[in-house]
This record gives sequence, structure tokens and C-alpha cells, in this order.
Amino acid sequence: MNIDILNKALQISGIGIATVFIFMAVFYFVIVGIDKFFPYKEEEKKK
Amino acid sequence: MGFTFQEIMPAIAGMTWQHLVMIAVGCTLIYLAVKKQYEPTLLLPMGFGAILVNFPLSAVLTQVQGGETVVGALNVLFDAGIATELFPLLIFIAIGAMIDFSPLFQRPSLLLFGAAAQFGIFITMILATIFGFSLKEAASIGIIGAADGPTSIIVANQFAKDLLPAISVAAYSYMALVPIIQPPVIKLLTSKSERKIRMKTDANKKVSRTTLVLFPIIITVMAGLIAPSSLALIGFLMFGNLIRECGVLNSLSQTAQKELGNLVTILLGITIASTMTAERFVQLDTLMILGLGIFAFVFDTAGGVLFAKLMNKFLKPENKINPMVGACGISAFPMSARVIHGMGLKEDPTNYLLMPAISTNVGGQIGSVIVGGLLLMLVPLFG
Repeated sequence: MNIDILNKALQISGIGIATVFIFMAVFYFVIVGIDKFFPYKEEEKKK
Repeated sequence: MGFTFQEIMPAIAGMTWQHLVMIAVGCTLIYLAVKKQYEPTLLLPMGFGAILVNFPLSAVLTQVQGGETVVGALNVLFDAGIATELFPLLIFIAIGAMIDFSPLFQRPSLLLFGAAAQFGIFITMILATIFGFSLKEAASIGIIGAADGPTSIIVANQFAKDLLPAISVAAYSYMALVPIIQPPVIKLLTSKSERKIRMKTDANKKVSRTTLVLFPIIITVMAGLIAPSSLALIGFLMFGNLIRECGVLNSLSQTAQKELGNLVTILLGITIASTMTAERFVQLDTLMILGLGIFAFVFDTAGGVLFAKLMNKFLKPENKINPMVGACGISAFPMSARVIHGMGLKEDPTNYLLMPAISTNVGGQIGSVIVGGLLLMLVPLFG
């Protein structure tokens, strides 16, 4: 076992998990935002 | 004039026990595909390909005969479709065209499980380094837990070409084994009352076409800004989805879902098999990769379930999440959602978890692609 590689794997895991949560949080706000700005009812009214 | 047996029957003379093992592996994959119907679209071509490439001097592989190089058809396909990552990316267009993202709009917070259920990827990566794999190899092994075949192929192809056959076989086989792997893990981590939790969903909520058209474009732009290395994966997935949702390319959407998906799947399976030669596959590393792959799946499932339990600590009783749904944060779509729905019905025949499970599963598809892109970006940085 190479401690240096293990250390790097731990760092990548920490950054990776945090970043994927940030990504998903951003996507969450994207979904909430576009759903708010372009709701289904408004589209129906326009038609 | 005397000919030796080796000259007359070179294939039989050159056959080793490792070749026979691989032919048996091929037959097993075909059995699982035909009899058990585990991912037959991929396991069957892979199984047959494994038989094809494990005869000495097989013409489907490049051979040197009498000083001349005779190029094999499967090597041509590998260089064109896997080495360039073209086949997995084309599969993403097909998958994108098949996915309906509208369930995500019913309860967008379920998207977070698409992050939590990637936990096993990183834990497995750490474990693989403890077992002596290099950082790049460990990342490629960990990504098996994404339950996402094309992403696994792309990461392994960039980081650990030698491990590609074992990783792709593990990724696709375990995707097919979701109904066997996930239920015991979920039962171990949840109580009966937790498994009976009913989830509030707005099944009648409709999503505007504008929203569905904008979603893949915005996600692509965001992914490009935050992690450009994920753009090939996310971009092709979202391109396929845009074809589906734009409403003016129905014919292309159908073609992407059916003809493109089927054609590339046939080629992908048999091309991956070109790497399943006895020399590369019958090794201790392969067994370790298969073992670590299961570990990744188990911990991905556990990550999603435990994250749901954690969220429930902070949610009002009417908004509680059934922890089983957290397990759908993996990418195996829609199999994982179906398994959880079935488990929910077993606990309570009136509890329908299909919609939240599908929403979470869609989030898992996005999550696995993001993690693939992140690994492609982060691992070389730490090199």
C-alpha cells in the first residue's frame, strides 16, 4: 500500500463528493427556477 | 514431408486452460442473457465475443502470420469505437433520447440522492488504492459503482486500458444484478416502518415544453462552466434529450432511441469482448476488480439509503422520504426504480413509490455522469 496514493485518493474523494453535491444543488435551483419562470399553466393560457 | 500437429491444427495445439476458462465465461454470459434475461442486449454480444476471441490465431483479432500483419475486424471496431470513445458517447445520445426528465420536476430535492448514491465510487477508489492499484486504476474500478456502463468504459479507457475488459464486464453484469444486490443492503439498513413510509408526490404536476427544452441546454451550459471535462458525457446525454423534447425532431428522436441505440449496443458489446482475451482477463486483478465492483454497488446503495435517513431527521413528518428511494440514486435506470417500487409494494400493497423512485433514478443518471467527468478532471491533477 502506497500512503501517498491513498492520501491522494482521500483528497479526490473529498473534493469529488463535495463537488457532485454542489452540482446537484445547482441543478436543483435550475429546475426550481425554470419551472417557476415557465410554468405549465402560463403556456396553456398563451395557447 | 512431415507436418507437426501444431502446423495442421494450430488452434487446438495452442489452446490453454485459460482459453477454456474464457470460453466458459462467454457461455455463462450468454446463459445469463438468454435464460435469466440479465442485460441481454449487452451480455449476449459480450459473451459471444468472448468465445470468438479466445481461439488461438482467431481471425477476428489482429494476427501476424508469416511476417504479415492481418488486421482483425474486432480490433478495427475497437480502435474506431472504444479507443476514440465514440460508441459510449453515441449510446449517451440514445439514452438521452429515452429519458423523460419531467419526474424530476415533481420533487427536485430527490436530485440530491443522485449525489449521495455515488458514495460507493469514492470509497471503492480508496479501497482499491489500499489493495495496491494505482490512482488511475483505482478511479476506473470505483466508477463501476456508477452502474453506468458507458461512463465506466470512458473512464477506464482513459485511465486503465488494461483493466477495461474486467471493468466493463463488471459494470454491465452488476447493472443487471441490481434486483439481487440492492434489496438485502436496503433491508439491512432500514426498519420495517421506514420501508412503509408513504411519500408525498405531485403526480399530476405538468411541466411546460419550454421548461423541458431549456433543461438540457441549461444543464449543459452549467456543466461546461463548472466541470468542462464532464461535457462530452453530459453534452451527448443532453443532446439526445433535446432531440426528444424539442418537439420538431420526432423522427430523429425515435431513430436515436431505437436504431442508433440498438446498432451501437450490438457493436459496443462485441467490441468490448475483443479485450476479453485469456491473456488479459484470467488474472488475479480481474477477480479483485469484480469483488471491488460489488463493494462499490453495495456502498452506493448504502449511501443513498443512509442519506435519506439523515434527511428525514430534518424533514416534517408529511415530507418524509422512504429511505428505500435513496437507493435509486444509482444510474441503473429504470431497473433500480422498479426494484424499489416492488419492494415498497411488498411492504405495503397500497404504497406506490414508482414516481419518486423514477425521479431519484433520473437524478442518479445525471450524478453518475457528473462523477465520471469529475474523476476525469481530478485524477490527472493529483496524478
